Amino acid sequence: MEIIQEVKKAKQGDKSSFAKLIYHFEKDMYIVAKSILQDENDCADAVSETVLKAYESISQLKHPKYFKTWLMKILVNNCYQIKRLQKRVITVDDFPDIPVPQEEYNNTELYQVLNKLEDDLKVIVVMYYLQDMSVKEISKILDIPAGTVKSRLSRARKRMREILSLEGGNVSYEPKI
Amino acid sequence: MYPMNRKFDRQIRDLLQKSNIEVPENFHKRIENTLNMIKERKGDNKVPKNTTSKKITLGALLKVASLLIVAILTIGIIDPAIGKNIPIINSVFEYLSNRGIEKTEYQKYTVGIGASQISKGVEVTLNEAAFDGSRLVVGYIIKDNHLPKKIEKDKIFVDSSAETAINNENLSAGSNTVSGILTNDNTFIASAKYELVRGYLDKIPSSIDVKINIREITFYEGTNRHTIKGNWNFNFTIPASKTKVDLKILKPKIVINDKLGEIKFNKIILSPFSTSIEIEAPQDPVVGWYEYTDEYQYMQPSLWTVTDDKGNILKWEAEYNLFDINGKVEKDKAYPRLIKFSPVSPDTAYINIKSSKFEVKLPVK
Repeated sequence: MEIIQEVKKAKQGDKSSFAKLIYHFEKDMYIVAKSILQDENDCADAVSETVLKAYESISQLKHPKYFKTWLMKILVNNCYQIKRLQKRVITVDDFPDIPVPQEEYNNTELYQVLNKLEDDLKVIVVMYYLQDMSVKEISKILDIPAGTVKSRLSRARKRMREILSLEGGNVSYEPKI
Repeated sequence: MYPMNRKFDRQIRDLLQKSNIEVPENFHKRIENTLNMIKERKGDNKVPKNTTSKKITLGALLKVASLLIVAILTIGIIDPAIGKNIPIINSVFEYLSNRGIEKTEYQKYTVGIGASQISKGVEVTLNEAAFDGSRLVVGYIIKDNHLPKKIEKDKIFVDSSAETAINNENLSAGSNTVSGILTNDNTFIASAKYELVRGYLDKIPSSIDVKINIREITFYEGTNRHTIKGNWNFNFTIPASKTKVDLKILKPKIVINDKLGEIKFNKIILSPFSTSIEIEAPQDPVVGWYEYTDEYQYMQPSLWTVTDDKGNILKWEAEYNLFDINGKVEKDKAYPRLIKFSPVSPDTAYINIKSSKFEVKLPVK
């Protein structure tokens, strides 16, 4: 799919092109939402809001090549809004030493590593490593300076090394659960 | 020595990208439903700059019920066939479910009502109701010619303060959770949930008499609040044959002991629409009702992490005091409360509750 062409058509009101774009980035949106919200229903709420908001404001997107960055920014804002409304609820991930059964799709040791990271590091790790976004793109999406993105990446690397217990350049780790 | 960042980055990227992440069905379904809703909007092939059709998301509004006893006047079944202003929408629950607004399946428990009231130029139709023994869910259609003028970009929240009761048992005073959609023709389609504050019906009678008196409807645009005061009174009866009450009631008799006081888990009520937990626990005597200093935070159920035996989080939805608030909080006194969470699946073995100070498993099988 030629993304930029579809974005241009969507900007002109082509709902079919808009839908194609949304489905194309469906998995990316899920990964990012999940890194912030954890709860499946909250992720679904966030993406639903995001799709609507994106549809209503796509005509204002100036550069079609930044569609993904723009879409992720809307999603992240919606996720944090939901999180703010629930700020009095403590998630299970805040207590990493209590083992909790993970959902099947999430049942990888590396996601257990991700779940041990602080929230502000988790979403950056997901965007940088899983979605191959640049520091500049992440900075735009999260609305934080590029320097902050870099320093959080640096903290995340340090933390992941501790968790994974890297040795001699080969990646090996001992799961703590 | 740690590897260089680039090598580490490559390795992490490889490892993470090998993880098999699949998009869950409900996530995909929500996207699909939202795109379908967009597709159905008027003005095809044109992206509206100022859309008049908005999805309204939830504002969870907690109204703590004091013990209002409401006299019930039973008028009898309102026959949907002769109800006024029958809406074009046959089922509000189905309409909202198709658009990803309402998630719980109410079909098994739904009774058509089709009653309308007009007050202050606002027409409210009670389209249908579903009752599971603990929670009443009502489908509303609200028509107000002024609605579009109040709409800006922000979300709108609807709050109806209602005197409600089922068979003389008071329901929550005010709609607990309202979710809906504003359509192009000045119509707001919503579902509202009312909790049976005492928890559940003790036994299933031959009929269920419901009274809902709405006194005001409030719309929020961002921080601007618009309230319409009026009288929209609904009295209807649901024959027991037309609904289904499906409850599991357990008495765990679990007590958490702490120097600040005991927390007793007295009752668990599992119903298709919700999970209710009845506790007795102290209130914070320093700051008074519903406020908690750091020391007492662990007694605040909305801060608990509640999961089922599969690790699914049960969302805190509401909380009700089962006592009169009269005077100051007494230290060391146990105050009964009912806390509502999202429902569990029928095969759940236990509910796990974790706070900053304790963790407890409540068996539900």
